[in-house]
Parts: sequence; C-alpha cells; structure tokens
Amino acid sequence: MRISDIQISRSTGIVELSGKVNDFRLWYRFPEDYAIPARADAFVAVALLPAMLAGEVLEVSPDLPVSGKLLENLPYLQEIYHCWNPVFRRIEVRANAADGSVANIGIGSFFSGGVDGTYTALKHAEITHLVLINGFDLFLEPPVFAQAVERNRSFAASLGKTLLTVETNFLDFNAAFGVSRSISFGTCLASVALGLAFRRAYVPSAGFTYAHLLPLGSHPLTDPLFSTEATEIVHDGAEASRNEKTKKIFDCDAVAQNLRVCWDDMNRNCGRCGKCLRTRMSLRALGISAPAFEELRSVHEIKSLTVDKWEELIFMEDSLRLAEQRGDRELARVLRAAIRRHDFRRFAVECDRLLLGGLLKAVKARFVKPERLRPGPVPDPNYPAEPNRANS
Amino acid sequence: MRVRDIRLTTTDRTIELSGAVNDYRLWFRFPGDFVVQPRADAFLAVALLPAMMAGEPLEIDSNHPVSPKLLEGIQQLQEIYHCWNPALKKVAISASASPATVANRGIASFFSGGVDGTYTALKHAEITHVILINGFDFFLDASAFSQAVDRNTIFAARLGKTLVPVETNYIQFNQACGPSRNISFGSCLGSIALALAFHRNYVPSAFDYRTLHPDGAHPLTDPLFSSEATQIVHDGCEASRAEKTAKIFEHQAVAQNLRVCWADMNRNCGRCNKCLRTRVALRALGISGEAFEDLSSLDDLRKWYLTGPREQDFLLENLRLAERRGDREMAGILRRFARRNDLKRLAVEADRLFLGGVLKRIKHLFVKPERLRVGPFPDPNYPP
Repeated sequence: MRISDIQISRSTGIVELSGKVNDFRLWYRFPEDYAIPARADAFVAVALLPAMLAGEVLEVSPDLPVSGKLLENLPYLQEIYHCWNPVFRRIEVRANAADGSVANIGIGSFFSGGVDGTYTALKHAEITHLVLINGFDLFLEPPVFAQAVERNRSFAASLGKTLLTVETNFLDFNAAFGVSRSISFGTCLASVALGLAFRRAYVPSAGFTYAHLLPLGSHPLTDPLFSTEATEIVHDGAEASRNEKTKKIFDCDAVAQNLRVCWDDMNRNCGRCGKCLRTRMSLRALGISAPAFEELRSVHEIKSLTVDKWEELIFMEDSLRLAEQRGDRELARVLRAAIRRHDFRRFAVECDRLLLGGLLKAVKARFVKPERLRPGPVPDPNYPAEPNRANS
Repeated sequence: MRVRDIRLTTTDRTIELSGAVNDYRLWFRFPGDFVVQPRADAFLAVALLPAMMAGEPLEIDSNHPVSPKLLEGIQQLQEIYHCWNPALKKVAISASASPATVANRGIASFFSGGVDGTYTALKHAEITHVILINGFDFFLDASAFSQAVDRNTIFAARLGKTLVPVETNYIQFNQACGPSRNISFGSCLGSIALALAFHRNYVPSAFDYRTLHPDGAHPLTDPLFSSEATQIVHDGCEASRAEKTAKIFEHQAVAQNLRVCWADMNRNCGRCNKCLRTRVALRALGISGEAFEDLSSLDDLRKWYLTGPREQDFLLENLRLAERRGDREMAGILRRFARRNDLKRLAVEADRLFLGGVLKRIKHLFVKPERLRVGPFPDPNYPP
C-alpha cells in the first residue's frame, strides 16, 4: 500500500489536504485561515489499518515527511490491533522520518454536539477550538451541515471557544478498504488532529469508562500512540459514565440547550428515537428537568427500548441504580424489565449454544441472513459476547 | 493518613529505606551497592490505595520530596481506581514536590522466574538488571529465598544481566491497611521501581490486550507511577501466556530456569494448577523441555479442573492450540472442562433469573462465602 502525491490546494474559504492511498484520493477540507502542512502524518494514521488488513507493506513516498515519534509508535499500535483481531497483520512501514512542528496555536477537542464531546469541552478550560467533522460518522447534506455549524459556532463562542469545521471523504475511504468503523474511527480523529497539528488534541471517550473498556476504535491505549512531536493526542473522559457526563452537562442550562443526541436529525432532538429516549430516561433517573428535552412523564414511552449492546446494558444498569437511589420505583420497574429481557435473550442464546449445539441459531440463519460485517476490533463479529456478568 | 520519618539505614550488606505510614513502619531492603535516596516517592505509591480505601487525605511529611510528575500521575490513577471501584474514594494529597533524579545506572525489569518476567527479560536486550522481590506476592523464609537468589543470579548472569534481590514487608503492610492484592500489587512494583530509580523499569504483564481487565498491574495504570527519573513500562500485553511460553522454550537454558509453581519457588512440583497449566501449554505447543515432565499420560489432567473466567481464557487458548496440533485426546479433555465451566455459569444464571438466587442462598447456608477485601471490581465476591 502506498501513500503518495500529497497536495495542499486552496479554493474559496477552504484549504484542502489530500493524498493518494494506492489509487484512492483521500481529502480533508479545513477553513482557509488554518495552517495545514503538506505532511503524510494524517495519511499514515488512516492507512495503517487498511494496510494491516491487506497484510501489505505501507510505503510512504520518500519525499513526504512523517513524524519520527509517530513512526516509533506504529509498532505498538500494530501490536494492539493485531492482538485484538489477528486478521490485522503486523506489517512493515517504510517512510522517511522528519519531525513536524505545531502548525496552529491553541488546543483542540473533537465535538459533534453530543454528550461525550460536550463533557470534554466543559472539563478543560484550556481547550480553544472545538472540531466538528462532516464525513466522520455520517456525511450530512450541505444545508444540514451548515445549520449544525451555525448553531455550534454560537455555542462554542458562548464557551469562549472557536468552532472549527472539517469535511472529509474518510467514510468512503474506509468503505473502499473494507475496514469496520468500529475499529477505525479513532484513526480518523487522529488524522484530523495531525492534519491541524495543534499542540494538544482531546479525543472524548465514547461509551466506555475505565471499568468497562473493550477493544474499540478510540481507546485510552491507542489514541495517545498517534501523537507526534508537535501534537499530543489525549483520550479524555473515561472516568465518567454516560449518566455522570449528562449530569455535568445539565448543571448549566445554556449548555444543555445545545445538546444534540438524536440519531434522526443532527439539528434537533426528535425525542422519540432510541438515543433521545435514552437521554430522556437518563434525565429522569438523575431527577433533572430541562427545557432541552421533553420530560419523560410516562415510563410507557421507554417500554420499547431494547438492550442489545454491552454498553447499553451498562448504561441501563447504571440508570437503574440511580432510579432506585431516587426512589423512582416506576422507572426502576421498567428498567429492570428491560434488563431482564436482555438477560433472558442471552440465556436462551447460551442454552442453544451449549445444549442444542447452536441448532436454533442455524435455523434462524436460514430465514434471516446474518449481516456480513467488516473486520472490526474483535475477531468474531458476534463478539463481545458480553464479559461474564460477574465481572461487571 | 500520614507518611513521615523516612529513613535510610545501612548495614554491612544492605541498605534499608523505611518510613512510617500512620503507625506502620514499611521497609524495603536493597543490596548495599545500590544507591537509594531518602525520598517519599515509593511511600506515596503504596500509601495511595490505603488512603483511598479509608477516604482520608494523604499527607507526606514535607521533609521528604516527591516527584511532581508522580503527583500528576497519582491524580489520574485516582480517577482510574475510583472508576474501577467507587469504594476507593478520591483523596487530597499534600506533599512537597521536587524532581527525581536517576539513582542507579541501567534498565531494570521485575522478575520472579515465571513466564511473564522471563519473557520480558528475553525481549529487551537493554535490560541490565532483573529485580527479585521477597515479600511481594509471597514471603519466603531466608533459606528458600537465598536459594532462589543464588539460582536466579546465575541465570541472570548467563543472560548478561544482574540480579537485584529486594526484601520488603509490603505484604504485611497491605494486609494491615491496604485493599486486596488484586488491585494493589502494581503499586508495590511502582514503589520499588521509584526507590531504585533506574532510568527505565519494566513491569511484565499477566494479561494480553484482548483479555485486559481492571487489575493491580495494567498498561493504563503502571506508567502513571513514573517520575521524571524513572519511566515505568507495562510490557508484554501483545503476547498470550502460551505465546510467551513458546518464546521461552526456544532456549532450553532459559526454560530450565522457569519456575511457575505455587507450592515451591525453587522447583516445579508439576502437580499444582500452575504447573499443570504450563505442562498443558507445552504439550499443546508440541514442546518438551527438561524443566517440566512431559504430560504424556493425561490422567493427571483428568483429575484436575480449572474454574473461573480467567482460567477459562487459558483453557480456551490451550484448546485452540491442541486442536491445531491435532492432539485430539487432550483437546477432548479441555473441551469438556470448558463446557463444564460454561454449564456451571449457565446454572448460576438460571438460578438468578428463574429462582431469584434461592440456590445461591441455600449454598451460602452451608458454605460461608469468603469475605474479600476491596479489589478492582465493586463486587467483593469477584473474582469468584
């Protein structure tokens, strides 16, 4: 796999950093008033996993500089990825080391208006820039993105920070090389951080606290390894659960007012999708009422919530504990039922596997074709089978 | 909680660093030819968890400096420990800060003769010293320890390294006021690394990146015990226990020194869980070595049974290796063990989900559950 032909081009209001990874032209567009060095750091960060998946040497055109520190840390990153999922093989990286320097003054943090980014933005007064990316987890239509930019710009300003918008075709790149986003999304954040080369860039932790860490694209062990001499990358916020972060955010109404968690719309909270419902449930469990979200008066609304993933289970159990503490018996009952449904389902799956040799699963697969997943942070796409309950 | 009265005492052969943590005198004894500074870094490292458990501020006597970098690391350590188990509360630390300096030349690694320490010692040519501790996970009588020291001194010399024997009453200290060893053992290693103040000190890992979980030594916590002088590196998470074993048995002379036994530090009994586990791994890897009797008859294995989620990880790994080698006889036994563990877990789940835990309560009428100390998980019954 080869990284070559890195270009910096300017058009109205935009400076674009682009480069070729094999034949794919990957690009990042930044506002024109930022200094973007023509370096290969960002491309090395995102091309690492595709190269490991292909089991190919990653070769950077010799005229393109790559941070010595980043090159030194790549073997450690590879050890972690390979240990998580051996389909990602350890490969050789050929590049010329040339240390970079800070390109932009200030300290950045990634931000999309959700719980994790808002929590980290509030936590560190030293953060000067909030970095909002289009093309990272989804690609929004220009008018929708423009609206999100406008809203978050005034929000950032209210915190005394600057909003910095980035567009990229990373999602297409990632799909083209067949890597699952769940292992690669941290590399995209790192590449944007390295493209901008602030002195420090915070990556807000997503979903897991220190107590429940699992292999994942952004992780306190991997994120810092993308750092260079110029830019320190810090994984932040793993000390706080989603409920704790939500509580912190709702300490301040003006901040809460800007919170957007919705799956359906980046610019308003529909209040009905899974994520909105979970947030409303969390607010009730915390005993918070705030204008940003309609209060969850009837627990019937959340009866449809299912617990599918491990992080959802952790969140539900944490919320149950809060509801019990507050003496909210009605909410506690519904949460307990949701957790119980999850436990029964898992029990049934285990019974099928252990007592029937997976017969029911095989029958089900004849009717519902299981989704073919791209290689992710764990070998078996059906894993994690949650860690043993006694562990958590 | 207070740390005060830190002293250096020299005898003809050892230098002892000791300090009072509240009323407990904690000491570390090093060979006399090493430089030890009268600093409080080591005491801050080991007193942190007892203070967090008591929820009391930790005051370090201002006559004895601590590293500013360590103080910073301690803040983050508290966040991690508190997140792992909220029974450990965040506490205020007061101390006078002054940067640490390297006290001894070279690069060290902890070593007890087992799989993890041997693997790390082999992996890094830059390691000049291997540190063997008495009073860390076991406390051997003087003659058994001196036998272990003699054997490992020769072994280290063969690798071109120097053995540093250290003695401490850390186990008793931790028993008196600390949490479970499962969460605190990394802080003991941190403290000895800080006291010896080599430029770098490796802490060999016990788990790989896939099976990581809250534990006393962890790649996220160990480096936070570093000072300006000493970089503490958690090492070896890239390799599973079987991979490490395979690496060690590439060199018969190295393998010859391997001691994994729970029953005896100076020889492998071959019968305890840990010895058997190693013999299973060797057979699964198709290795035979003099250090361990070949597992040619599987009768021993049949009588033996491993339980618990950590053992299950080792079991499944060895099962995979045995299957790959076409060792159907052993694979069959291991598969049965793994299945037995799974079924046991299923039964516990069934009791919890359908009987509301009645069977568990009845069992506890007959077998009192062990009362465990505060560990890396909120549930004191974990690991079972």
